Amino acid sequence: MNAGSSREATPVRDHSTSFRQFLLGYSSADPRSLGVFRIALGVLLFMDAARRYPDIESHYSNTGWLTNHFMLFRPMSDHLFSLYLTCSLPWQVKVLLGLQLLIDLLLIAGYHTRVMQVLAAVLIASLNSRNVMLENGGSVVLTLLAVWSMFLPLGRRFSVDALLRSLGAEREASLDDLNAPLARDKAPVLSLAVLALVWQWTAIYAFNALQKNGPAWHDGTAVYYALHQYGMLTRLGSWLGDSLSLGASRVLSFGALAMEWLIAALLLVPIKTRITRMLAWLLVCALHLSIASVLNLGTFSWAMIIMFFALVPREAWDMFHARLSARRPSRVLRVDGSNPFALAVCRIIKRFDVLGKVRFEQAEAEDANRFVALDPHSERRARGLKGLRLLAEAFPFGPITVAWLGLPLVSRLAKKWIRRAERKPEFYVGYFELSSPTPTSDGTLSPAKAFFARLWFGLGEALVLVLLVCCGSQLLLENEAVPASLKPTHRPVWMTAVIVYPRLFQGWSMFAPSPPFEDVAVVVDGRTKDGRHFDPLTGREPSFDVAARARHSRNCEWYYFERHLNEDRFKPYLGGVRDFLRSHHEISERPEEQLVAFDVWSVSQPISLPGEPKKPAQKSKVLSYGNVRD
Amino acid sequence: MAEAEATPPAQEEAGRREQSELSNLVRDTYLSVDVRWLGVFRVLYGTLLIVDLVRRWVNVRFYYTNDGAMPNHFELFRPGWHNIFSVFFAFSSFGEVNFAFTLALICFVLFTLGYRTKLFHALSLLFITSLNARNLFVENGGTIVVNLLGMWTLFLPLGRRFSIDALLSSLKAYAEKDSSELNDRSKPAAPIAPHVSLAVLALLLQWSVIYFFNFVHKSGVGWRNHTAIYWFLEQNRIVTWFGVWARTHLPLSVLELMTRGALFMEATLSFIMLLPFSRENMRRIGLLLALALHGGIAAMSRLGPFSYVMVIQFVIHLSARDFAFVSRWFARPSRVRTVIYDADCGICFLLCRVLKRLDPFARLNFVGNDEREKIPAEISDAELDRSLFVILPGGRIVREERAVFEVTRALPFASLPALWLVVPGLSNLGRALYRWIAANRTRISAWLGLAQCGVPSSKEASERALVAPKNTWRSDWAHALSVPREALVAFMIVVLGVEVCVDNPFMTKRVHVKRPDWMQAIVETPRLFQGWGMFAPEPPYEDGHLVVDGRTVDGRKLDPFTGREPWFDPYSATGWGDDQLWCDYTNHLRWANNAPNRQHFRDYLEHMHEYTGRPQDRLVDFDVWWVQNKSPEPGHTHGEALPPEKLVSFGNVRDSLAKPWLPAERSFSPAPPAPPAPPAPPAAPRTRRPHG
Repeated sequence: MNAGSSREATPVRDHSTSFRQFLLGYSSADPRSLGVFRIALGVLLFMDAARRYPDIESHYSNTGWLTNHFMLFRPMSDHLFSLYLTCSLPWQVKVLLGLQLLIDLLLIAGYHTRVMQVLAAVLIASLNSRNVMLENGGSVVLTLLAVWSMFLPLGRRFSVDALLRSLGAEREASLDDLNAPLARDKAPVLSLAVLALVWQWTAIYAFNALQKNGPAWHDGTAVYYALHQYGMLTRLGSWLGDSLSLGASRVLSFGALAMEWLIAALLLVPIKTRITRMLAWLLVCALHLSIASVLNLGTFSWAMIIMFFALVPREAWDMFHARLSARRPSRVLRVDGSNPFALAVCRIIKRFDVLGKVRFEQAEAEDANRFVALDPHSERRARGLKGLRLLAEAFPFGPITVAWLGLPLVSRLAKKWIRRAERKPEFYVGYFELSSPTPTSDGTLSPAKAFFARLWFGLGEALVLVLLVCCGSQLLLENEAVPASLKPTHRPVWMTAVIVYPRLFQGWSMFAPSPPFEDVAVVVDGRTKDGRHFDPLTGREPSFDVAARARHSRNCEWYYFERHLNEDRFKPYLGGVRDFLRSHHEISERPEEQLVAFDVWSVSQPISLPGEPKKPAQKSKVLSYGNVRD
Repeated sequence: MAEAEATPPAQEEAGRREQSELSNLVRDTYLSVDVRWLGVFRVLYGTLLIVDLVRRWVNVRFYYTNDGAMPNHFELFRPGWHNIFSVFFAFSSFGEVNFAFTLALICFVLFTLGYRTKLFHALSLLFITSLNARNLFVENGGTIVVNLLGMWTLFLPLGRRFSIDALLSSLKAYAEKDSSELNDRSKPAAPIAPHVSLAVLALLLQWSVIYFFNFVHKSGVGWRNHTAIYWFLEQNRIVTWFGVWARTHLPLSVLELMTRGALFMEATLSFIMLLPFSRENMRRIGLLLALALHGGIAAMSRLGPFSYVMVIQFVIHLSARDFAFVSRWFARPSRVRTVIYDADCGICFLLCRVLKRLDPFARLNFVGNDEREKIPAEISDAELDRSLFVILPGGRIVREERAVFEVTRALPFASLPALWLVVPGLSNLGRALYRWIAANRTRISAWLGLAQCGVPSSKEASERALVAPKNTWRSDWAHALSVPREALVAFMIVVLGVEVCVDNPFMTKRVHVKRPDWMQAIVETPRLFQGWGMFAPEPPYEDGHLVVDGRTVDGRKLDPFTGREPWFDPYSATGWGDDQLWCDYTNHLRWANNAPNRQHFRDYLEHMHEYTGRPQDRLVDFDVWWVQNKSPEPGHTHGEALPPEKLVSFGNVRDSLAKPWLPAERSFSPAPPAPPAPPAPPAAPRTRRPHG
């Protein structure tokens, strides 16, 4: 789906002035990078929504601990909006989540891309707003990514939209036209939104580094403490936490801090941005892949990484193109050039042939109406499905793309279809209402359309500017490292609303000023009706050993649930937690697990450094139901 | 098998023909619908949705925001139904709800205009069902029928005619190049083939069910002795000025006749649309009966959208002959116009192409200004270059803005928005505007990319039929989609058929159906209930309204909903003037099982002065009363006053004006003398608005 248009032929910007060059370097993006970024963003949004499916009953519907009516009656935040609040019953939430997944899929495919971008952003913000207690850095960063990128044309390349646009714009009418190079869309996207993304990431790293000024970061034990948060550790993290020495912790802690500073600085550098940003990406990958391998932080690490897809410079694409072009073989496709059906198929093939490796030739008399793929070097010929495979070798990821056609039933159907298309091309000409395409129009926009396009673009940029100002003021307000004199004192309510409705918060202090010095877990000491001790959160007997218990923690949402439950701001919602635990057996559909009495404890286990004696855990009762005597 | 083989070929042929005739009869009678009437229906239904939204918008704070009497959290906390869903639950504050209403209005308008019709139909359905589910106190039979009509017609192609979609696809399908092609009305061929769908049968059955159960459930004394209309008109809550006039001036015998008439019409309407013979006449009679029945109801009472939505459904079932009949008015010779346009002007030619498509009765005849032989000599060449000319049937020639107006007069319903062009004073403005456009038409054409006489580029000039030909991917795709669509209609017929058996006492006495939960969810979520018994089994014999006995911060007695002193006399000669929303809301509020909702009504009254911007009207204490009486027996003017019921209080009202009406204070007689009332009894306000 590498489609293009005639934009390359007419340079969009005048590169004469150095300021423009600076702007182009600093706040422009290559449409191919944006296309790949769209796919990555769509996949991440899809994964984020899909992984929440198992917890719908617990966290997002009225069978869970936070009902929609209580969330609306006593909202966890001002300016709260969530489409998920309209859904009370689990099936309603599942329908809406299914819709969200569908929209994410369409975003990945790039179908009606702009609409899908907006819908995906609204739905991810809605999902996060439905249960604010579970909100974390990852969800905020993902929402930020979705919102900022809403103003970028992510569908210009590698999308269904681009394919359709290209087919409509350039109408090859003969084999000669087909062999002419296709003007692919490479005109850079110059937008404030690119700048906003860069500044946003700079702010995240800069403030995360700046505010890591606690003792644990000074003495290098921060990573050690982080790796003893058992509720959020992966298996590798658990193993590392158990075996990490203080020396290694110091290296890792100072290394992480240095990387954060370095990434922020590299992103800010105004010159040679194509090099500095890629260097920053390397560091980001190293930092966040390490974090993701040991800590379960939801989408945080992945969201931080995928933003850089949007910043891949044009030169990198050209280099990648040249290398790939050298590795991929050339192919010839012989078809009947007078057959509209063959031409239509070739036009589509041409748009997938981003490397320009396929040459179209007139089929010989005995091959009339057939599609014959040819390897010009070995003179190997193939038809039908084999021909398609031979042809696909010329495309990037081509063999993988057509691999599914080798599946037993599919391959038989494909062969049948190709045979039929070769035997009765006139049927397909009529069936698809094909006619010989007319020559290419010049593709220029009318002044009216150009005016409205400029107006639309200008409105988008104005919106980005407003958002930038709002996010800037939020950044000053939320971060403790900002001196009080710089904090805005009289911010209009509408600016707060702009930030809070889509949850675009700007407080960046992960494990800052220090990581937590204690590991926290919530233990439900429950008694079932058949007399057993039972903790429905783990499905086992209650255990007050935080480290052992935390290994049963399911995902980062549950981790944040347990971490925040004892906080004063969430006290009003404890009634819902009690009701949830009382009816937990209905969700699990295990009546034997019905609790007749329970106490909910928040257990805080101080983390001891190597060599220190293990400190005793502190328990505090969060809530009770019935009378737990033993 | 042997018998079948023995059947003579002639008999087989006759049997096949008979079967084919039967299936044709079924298809034509129960499954076919004229796409032009579907277009007309879309405009009517969309207009109804817009009007319904706007009337709710007037009091949006009271009914739909968390400032008002029905906060979203309480509606969700104490839902009236197990399966409740409304998009509007996501919107809490006044600003948020206004935003949601704006979105709904945009959807309704675009649906009415027929832009991306199916999409905006679905969105409109989502919004209207959500609006109805957001505040169940103001839901009534009319809103349920609106939901049902929106749901059933979702399966029909409402945008195929008289829509922006149809206009755009027609412009794309055929690109005229000169006036002869503009005058050739056979191209592009507008779709007139009837659409066949099970949804048509579903609509017929739905309306028959509504009338049937409304008829059979009217089994009470009031209906049996034919006084029901009399009691109906004594409902001061809902009666209009016309209803007041009718109850004052019409003798009881006429009202009894009207009751019989209403019963007769309901009974007839329950089957007439399903009769397999004389289909066109039966449906015309159906429409006329519905107009008489619901026109009467709408003239005499305020029941929200009920009457209107009941009538507009009948439009769908009118035939091609009916369309031709109506066309006579629009196609009369006096509407014929000859339009002389600038053939070199791209925008002019494009407008002519659009006009051709807005002119279904071919009243416009186009002549390019380069066809000198067809143009009267009195128009000079110089004038031809400057202005548009229209030649009227009598030969009169008009120009400029007047010509524009005359063009709109030839088109159905188009002259209304152009009327200002002939209003003295405004017409000068119209002329100036016309001249500016005419002077700049070349530039405008170039700006729009229409410099070449408005003829689209060659890539769009291919002619395609609007209706997809057979055996193409389009027809296959349409066919492939039609199968699940029709299956879904059949499924909904079954689901709602079961609901009919559950919701109506007439059926529950005879059939016991156990409905699965998923079926209940399908019905309840979009509010597609099937219980039909308006004013049944008895007409209402009691009447009442809400009175707030409040004391303001400056010591005045005030009912903030009337802006006057509280008035407890349940008698009213003119009706209370309440609108449907207020009437239904207050009626629900008084029910004992809705007592928990009253706290929010109290909260609203406490803060009402903030919303009205009248701090002097702040209430320091108040009681809310339901003031009621028995409707007067025939021959009486006053009914028996019943003791008022206190619904909710705030503070301590020491000098309650309700005291004289309470049982402890005085005894009641069927026609009580005037109580010690305030010096000047206030007339009922024309309308009551929650914001005063």
